[in-house]
Amino acid sequence: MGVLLTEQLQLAYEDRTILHDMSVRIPQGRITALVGRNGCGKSTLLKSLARLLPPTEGHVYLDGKKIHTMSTREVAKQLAILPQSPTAPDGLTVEGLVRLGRYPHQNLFGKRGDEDDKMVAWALNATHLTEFRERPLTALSGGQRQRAWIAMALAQGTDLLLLDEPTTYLDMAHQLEVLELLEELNRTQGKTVVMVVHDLNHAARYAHHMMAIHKGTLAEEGAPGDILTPELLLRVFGVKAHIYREEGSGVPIVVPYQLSHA
Amino acid sequence: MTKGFHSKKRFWTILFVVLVLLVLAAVLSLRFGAVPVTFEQILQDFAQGKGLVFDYRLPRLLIAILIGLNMAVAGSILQGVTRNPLAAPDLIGVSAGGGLAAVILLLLVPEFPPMMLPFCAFGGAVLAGGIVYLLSYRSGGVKPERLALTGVAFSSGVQALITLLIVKFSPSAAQALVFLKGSLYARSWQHVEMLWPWTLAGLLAALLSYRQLNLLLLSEETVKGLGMPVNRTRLFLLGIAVALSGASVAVAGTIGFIGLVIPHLTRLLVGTDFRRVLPLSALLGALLVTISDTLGRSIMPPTEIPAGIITALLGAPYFIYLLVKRKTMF
Repeated sequence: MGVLLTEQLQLAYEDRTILHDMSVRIPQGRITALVGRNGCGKSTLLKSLARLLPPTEGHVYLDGKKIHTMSTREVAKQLAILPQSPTAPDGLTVEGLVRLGRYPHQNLFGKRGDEDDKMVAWALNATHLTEFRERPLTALSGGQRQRAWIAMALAQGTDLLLLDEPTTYLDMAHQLEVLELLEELNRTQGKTVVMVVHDLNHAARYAHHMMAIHKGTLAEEGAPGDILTPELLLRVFGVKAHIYREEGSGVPIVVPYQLSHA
Repeated sequence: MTKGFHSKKRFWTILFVVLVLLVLAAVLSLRFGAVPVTFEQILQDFAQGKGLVFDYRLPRLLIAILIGLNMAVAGSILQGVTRNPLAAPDLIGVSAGGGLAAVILLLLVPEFPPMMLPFCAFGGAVLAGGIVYLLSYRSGGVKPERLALTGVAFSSGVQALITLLIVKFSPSAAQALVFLKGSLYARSWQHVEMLWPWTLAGLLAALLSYRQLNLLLLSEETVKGLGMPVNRTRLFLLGIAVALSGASVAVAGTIGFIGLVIPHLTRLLVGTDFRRVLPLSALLGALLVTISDTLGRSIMPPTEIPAGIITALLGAPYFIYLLVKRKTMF
């Protein structure tokens, strides 16, 4: 379960078309990175994959069902999305936040079931936050806070995890903290991860699959090692870059050196 | 914030203290007024089911409690749904709408039967709330910021109309002015009967919605991602707030301040979790209006100071003190 794909997806705000005729399929059980310039439509694609934005044409299919005919709650049981820089009220504790992830599984009275407690404990454990469970979010470091949000998404108990720029505003160590967690969740829990990232080197190192979006269309997709070429960087990002390979792993390392004025 | 600051024990302690204070305030409110009565007479009136205390002071006390509860819970809901710390029943047009309807009736239809006033004011309040909601509606739903701005603009316009009417009819506008300041003068069992079903239904609906209210404190995309139909839930919660505050405006006029300040006060005391905010703000609202009304009719009898004025006089300094002392808002 957790098959997510789009067919001829088109999305427009008023008279501006953001996504053109986009047909993509998210590889199951893998980490997919959406990359591209600011405003290229990658976040919009992520949001429409999660049913946050209705398409103007075409469809998103979740396990063969049109996602926009499903109820919000039904979607939330199968797909978790973490928006960019989410905010929470002051004083909310880590556990309080993670518990909110159980919302789609609760009935009107919100009675706490054993399953809820189990999932919350598991999500805290999986994100290495058990010892911080009673701390308010405001008392955590940036990396820990992002892990707490990921824990909330995990508590939803979905196979699919979508993240919009999960490493933005974090320092280098905290960025790796988040990416390594996602890598671990993918490896040990088989989560399908889709994330928008800006750092191509992070994308190359942690993602199995990369989708380069340019002007609302899919410019290229494939394994980062295959598609990251100087030609692609010029075309999609408008920069000239050297691409090196890390010894041993063969992971591509992107070093941009000049803005292309072409 | 230190660990355990908003602990369960603290919440129950505060709730208990406020409840005790409310009982004390209630007893005092039965005893004092233009004519002080003895405790024996209170008991005697209760036993007989008639007399000054039973016929006049008890219904008035109950109205005070119900109104405080309605306005405080409505304010808590509105501040949560709009994520705006300035939100209150006054802000979404409910008070202004109820006020305008009442003023029109009082000034333009002098011959109206007195029991029509609450119905008319309630109609105006609900109508105004509906208009503000529709005006802030855009495809895809109502955005909190837009709702707040529309509410402010609409209320200012309606307030201007009210002032215009008052100025035009100034010699005979005293009754209207008292209504606009919010007074519990001459409230009877009939008013209690009109009010309590709204309070009960609204409070129950609000308490059942605490998880939705908690979730709405997160950003909109997060809320949707967690599977809540945001627009439908917002409409439902706004409906509860409009019903609660509209019913309250209908029987007691526009008692301000409670809907704005009690929710803040409550959050400063017990944090942002609506499971705690709703019951405590209800009790605090009831307490503040009960005290205000008792003081209002005891300070300089036979003149009554409208409860709405006392709530502001009492509440404002305490609120400012709390704000200076602590930094947390949401």
